[in-house]
Amino acid sequence: MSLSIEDDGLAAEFALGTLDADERAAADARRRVDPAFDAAVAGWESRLGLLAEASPARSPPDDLFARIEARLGTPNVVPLLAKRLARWRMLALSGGALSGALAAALAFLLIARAPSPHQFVAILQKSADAPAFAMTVDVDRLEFSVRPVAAEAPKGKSYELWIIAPDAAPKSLGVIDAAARTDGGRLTYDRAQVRAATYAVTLEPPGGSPDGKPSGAPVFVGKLIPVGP
Amino acid sequence: MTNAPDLAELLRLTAARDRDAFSRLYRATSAKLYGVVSRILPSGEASEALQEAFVKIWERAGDFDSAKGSPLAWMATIARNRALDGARRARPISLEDMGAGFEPVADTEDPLASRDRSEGYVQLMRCLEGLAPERREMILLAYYRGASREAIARKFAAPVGSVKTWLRRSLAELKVCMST
Repeated sequence: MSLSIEDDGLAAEFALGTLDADERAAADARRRVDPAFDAAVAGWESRLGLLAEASPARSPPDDLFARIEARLGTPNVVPLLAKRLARWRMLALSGGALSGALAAALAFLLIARAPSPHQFVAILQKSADAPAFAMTVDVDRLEFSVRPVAAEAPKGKSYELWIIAPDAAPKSLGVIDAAARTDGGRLTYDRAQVRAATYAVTLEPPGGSPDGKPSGAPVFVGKLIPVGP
Repeated sequence: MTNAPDLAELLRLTAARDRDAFSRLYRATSAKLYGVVSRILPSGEASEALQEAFVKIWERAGDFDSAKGSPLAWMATIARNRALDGARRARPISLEDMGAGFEPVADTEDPLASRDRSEGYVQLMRCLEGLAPERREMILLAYYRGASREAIARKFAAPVGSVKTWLRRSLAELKVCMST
């Protein structure tokens, strides 16, 4: 409706799929906090989705439905993200092309913490090689901690952390002091919501958003990945 | 509509946790949706993306609103978004070994093939035909092959900025054409 031509173009390109990884992640995060933008994307998805009618059919692997059925009703484990974490872990062990900041995040996530089935991490980032914050969540105790990896808030601004549970408005988890880690934060959602939520960081006036809502699109986003076996 | 299954009804039953309906939905649409994702991702990742997509369809079936679009478009969007997330994360996609467009040849029998093309599809095709051939091909490459702006720019030997401008202009023209 009130979307600018530029924003409607962005929504269209998101639906078409021509954005690069960073733009795509940012647009995806924006959908969760900006209903007008989300509606524009949905409109484009239904327009362009008609092209699927002409897409040539191809048989999927025979065992695929069994694999799908086995997962119904189990928590969503975001396997693609888990794969990425495994890749980082490999890079860290091989000492390959890894930035100091990313190595520090990995040390924090993978070595300092004893992995448990309740332990999850989220790397809040703009792109895969530029993590900004590392977050750990204990889904059983509903505790989280967060530490900056390579993020420094611009002068006169604060970083604020948000939890965006499925089908819920973003809720502040507090302002992140860019110099120090925050430990022992409490989450007031149920475990399934904590597990499925998106975590996002926005830039806010000093001390945090004045009205309890994000004042702009998230600059860094991430989802939880299991650490333990 | 001949004897093609009623996808909207199957989605409604799926939302009510009817596993049998979900199984029929899978049989009716998986070849089509695998066709969508396997042209964007290599086969191993494509089956993983399709698996993810169907789990999400199971979880989100209640969100489908027939007033806002066709069931197949809704399901294909979920599958495509999974595939695109994977493709953008993994590597810059190369169009070098892609053909001139998408090949409209099915590798398998399509349970939806007997279905008449929807009015919306016919209208979209009419509007696409109103675009210059190169612009139309860019849109189709992006949709069917998951081509990014960069990949399209390489293929058409054009600056990425121009591709962005062309894409957005073409999409805006489509929107106007489809609302008339």
